[in-house]
Amino acid sequence: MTQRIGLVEDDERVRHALARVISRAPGFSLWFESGTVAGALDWMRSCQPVHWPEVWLVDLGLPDGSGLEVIREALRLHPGSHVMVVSVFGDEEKVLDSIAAGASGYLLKGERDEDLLLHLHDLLRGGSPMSPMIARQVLNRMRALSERPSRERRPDPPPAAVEDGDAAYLTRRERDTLELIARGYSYDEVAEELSMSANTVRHHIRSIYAKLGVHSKVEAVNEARRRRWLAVE
Amino acid sequence: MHPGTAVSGSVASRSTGWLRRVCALLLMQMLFMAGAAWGANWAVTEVEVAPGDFGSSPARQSREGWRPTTLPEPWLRLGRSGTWTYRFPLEVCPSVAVATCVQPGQVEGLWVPKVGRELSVWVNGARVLHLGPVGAVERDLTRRPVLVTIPAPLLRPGANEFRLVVTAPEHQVAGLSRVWLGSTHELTLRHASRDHLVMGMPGAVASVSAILTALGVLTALRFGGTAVWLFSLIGVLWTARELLLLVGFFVLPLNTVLAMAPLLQAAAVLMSCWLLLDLMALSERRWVRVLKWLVACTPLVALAWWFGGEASWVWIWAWRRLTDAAGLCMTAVAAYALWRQPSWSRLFVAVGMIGSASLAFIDVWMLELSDRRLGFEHVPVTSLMAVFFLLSVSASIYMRVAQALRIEERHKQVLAQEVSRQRRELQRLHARESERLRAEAVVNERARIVREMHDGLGSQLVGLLSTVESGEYTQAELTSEVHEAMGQLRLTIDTLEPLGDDLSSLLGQLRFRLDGRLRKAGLKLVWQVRALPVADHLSAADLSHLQRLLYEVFANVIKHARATQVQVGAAHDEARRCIDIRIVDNGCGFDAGQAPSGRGLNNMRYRAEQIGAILRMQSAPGEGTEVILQLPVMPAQG
Repeated sequence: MTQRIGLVEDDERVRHALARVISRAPGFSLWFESGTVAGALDWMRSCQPVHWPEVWLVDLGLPDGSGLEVIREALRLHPGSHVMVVSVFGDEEKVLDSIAAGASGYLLKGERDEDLLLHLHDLLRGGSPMSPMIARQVLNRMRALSERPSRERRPDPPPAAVEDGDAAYLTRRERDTLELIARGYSYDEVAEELSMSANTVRHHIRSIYAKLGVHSKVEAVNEARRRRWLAVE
Repeated sequence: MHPGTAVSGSVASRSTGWLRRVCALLLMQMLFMAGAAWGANWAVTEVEVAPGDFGSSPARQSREGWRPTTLPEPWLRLGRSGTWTYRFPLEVCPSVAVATCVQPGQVEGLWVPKVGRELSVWVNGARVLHLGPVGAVERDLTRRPVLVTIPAPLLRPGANEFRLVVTAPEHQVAGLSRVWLGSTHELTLRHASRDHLVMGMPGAVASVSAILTALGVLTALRFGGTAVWLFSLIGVLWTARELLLLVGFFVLPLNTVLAMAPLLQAAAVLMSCWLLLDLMALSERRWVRVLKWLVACTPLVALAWWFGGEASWVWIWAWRRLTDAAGLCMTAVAAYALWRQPSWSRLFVAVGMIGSASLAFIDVWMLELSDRRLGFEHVPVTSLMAVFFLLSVSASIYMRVAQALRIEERHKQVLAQEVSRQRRELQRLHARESERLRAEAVVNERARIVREMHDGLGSQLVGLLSTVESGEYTQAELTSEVHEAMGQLRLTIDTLEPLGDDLSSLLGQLRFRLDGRLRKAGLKLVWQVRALPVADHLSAADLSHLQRLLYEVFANVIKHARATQVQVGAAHDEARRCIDIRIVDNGCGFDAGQAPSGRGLNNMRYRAEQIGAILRMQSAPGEGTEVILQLPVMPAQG
């Protein structure tokens, strides 16, 4: 079955290049393209579910707003969508934010066509890319919650942490995986080093991405509690 | 003073409490001083006196040589010394009816409140008492009263004669007080009350001043201070004087005791003056020097007395008067200082001085200046000076300490305020300094980025532009050049990420950036990067140098080595405190002797130098190349 792709990118040349790659690739078809946030949101809200593209490629820096809005709206309307960020460098803080918002990966602009296609296929098979720098940043971000404290030591856990408690903490395996990726090891090398299959590594990475989203919610709740925005019962 | 005047005096029993006894003593002293009749006893005041010892010679009954006098008779004022005999008659009634004579059995004893210094009592030619150097115990009769019991058979009905032989050396307190006759019981009460007063006062004063002295010495040892040491010394002198008067007779010759007591008192008075100057903060150097000299002279006076014989008693007397004068001067000074600059501390000192001076004056007046003969019977109150002075000085010192503590407390508060003010100031300065450092860091970082843009991407774009303009390059070559420029830009961006000191991530990211190119060049990468220690001594610029250096190595492998495999290893060598990074390829290598001294290699050396690392390259034609970089790790702080 052909994968329908929605493309939101303001740079016309990049959009053309991506369109060119997609049109050449078997199994993909460019379904919708827009250069603005407003255009994308309008189309999304009027789109029939049967016509909804399974894959979205979103640039973050758009002329009339942030691509994060597009990502959030897409996932709100159709939580099962694959959303990917199109980025020049792939490791800006914003990329991490968009992953936390639910994006399942990113594509680098300016890559050779074949590399781009490779990554696209990878992403759709469930393999999210992760640069060493993103791995390090994820580790740093989740350091506060990476060591899961015992229940007794947390007599007053934040509500969200109770609800999604287990989902917010990295497992030891996930942490090891992240540590090796941060040191530059490829997925295959990580699999070999940790004696697991490459698929398990991909699974861990996807799980880490998901936890990053949960984690950012927990962090937000914690922050709110810290600022006493929420009444503590 | 008639024997018939009977007063039913209630007498304090021996078992009453000390308070009642003290009150009774005072009361008795007052009555005694007023010369009031006590009960069935009376004082003899009208007597006859003759020079020489006539106690045992009843034959000389003639009126020659005898002349009438009135008791008490102080000798010092009369300039009398030697031995003199006093006599007075006593008519014992043959029958009860006569009023001008005493009843038989009414006179059982004789009591003399004060006499000096030897005394023999003869009744009708029989000696009933002898006290003095000849006796077993030498007693200071000028201080303690004498009670004599007269055996009943000695007194005959009709005329009886009493003779009292008194002997005293020159220049000493001597003489004869009134002589009391009466029942033994009454006289014993009188005797006991006076004796308690005379001996109890030095005892009490010695105890109090010993306690105050002990406290003073402890305080001086603990905190020091001239005033406290002087206080302790004065206390020691007073205590010594009182103890000497109290028990000195048992261990020292009487004359020594009588000489030492006034000298100790003189020294105490001089030191009190010194202490006064110190307490009043009137430390006039001249005065203090004079006082020190006087204190030092006191032992000299003692020596002069020791070797000077009888006449040297004058020295002691004069010395005491001199010190008394000094004390009076200082009392005036204290009063003046208090008037000029009143304070509690000065008030207490002045009260102490004035009180002491008054007590001393009472004694001098009574014994030496007053016309009243009763003054001879006066009980000296000089001892009380010690208590008065020491207590008031204690109070004064206490006031001073209390004030000092209050001032210190106030200073502490001021100091605390000052400290907090300075802390705030320091925090402000620190905040300003950190802000300055931050701004400086931003400027430095900006300069670095500009330099990188200029040297890296800028020059690359310029090269690319000229290449494009020349039109000699193919599409593929141009694409490769643009990719190269893109890669450079990404490397620059990587150094801007706030990962800072993490070297393993820096290596990892470099691999991530070069992955595509390495794959395209057909190079197999063997990646062995271990966990590396934090290198927080490296600045962003240092990390950039390291990244570029490693990039250069990889670029050389890709461009020139024609290798199929690159091995990258990084590990922490704890023994040598450095990080070893090794990049080994299996390419064509080069002759180390004729190494191309191109810009790339010099650049690498320069960068290694900048970060304090050692760069080594080993290669031979056909045997690949090994690049080793040793980066020192700062010893862990703390």
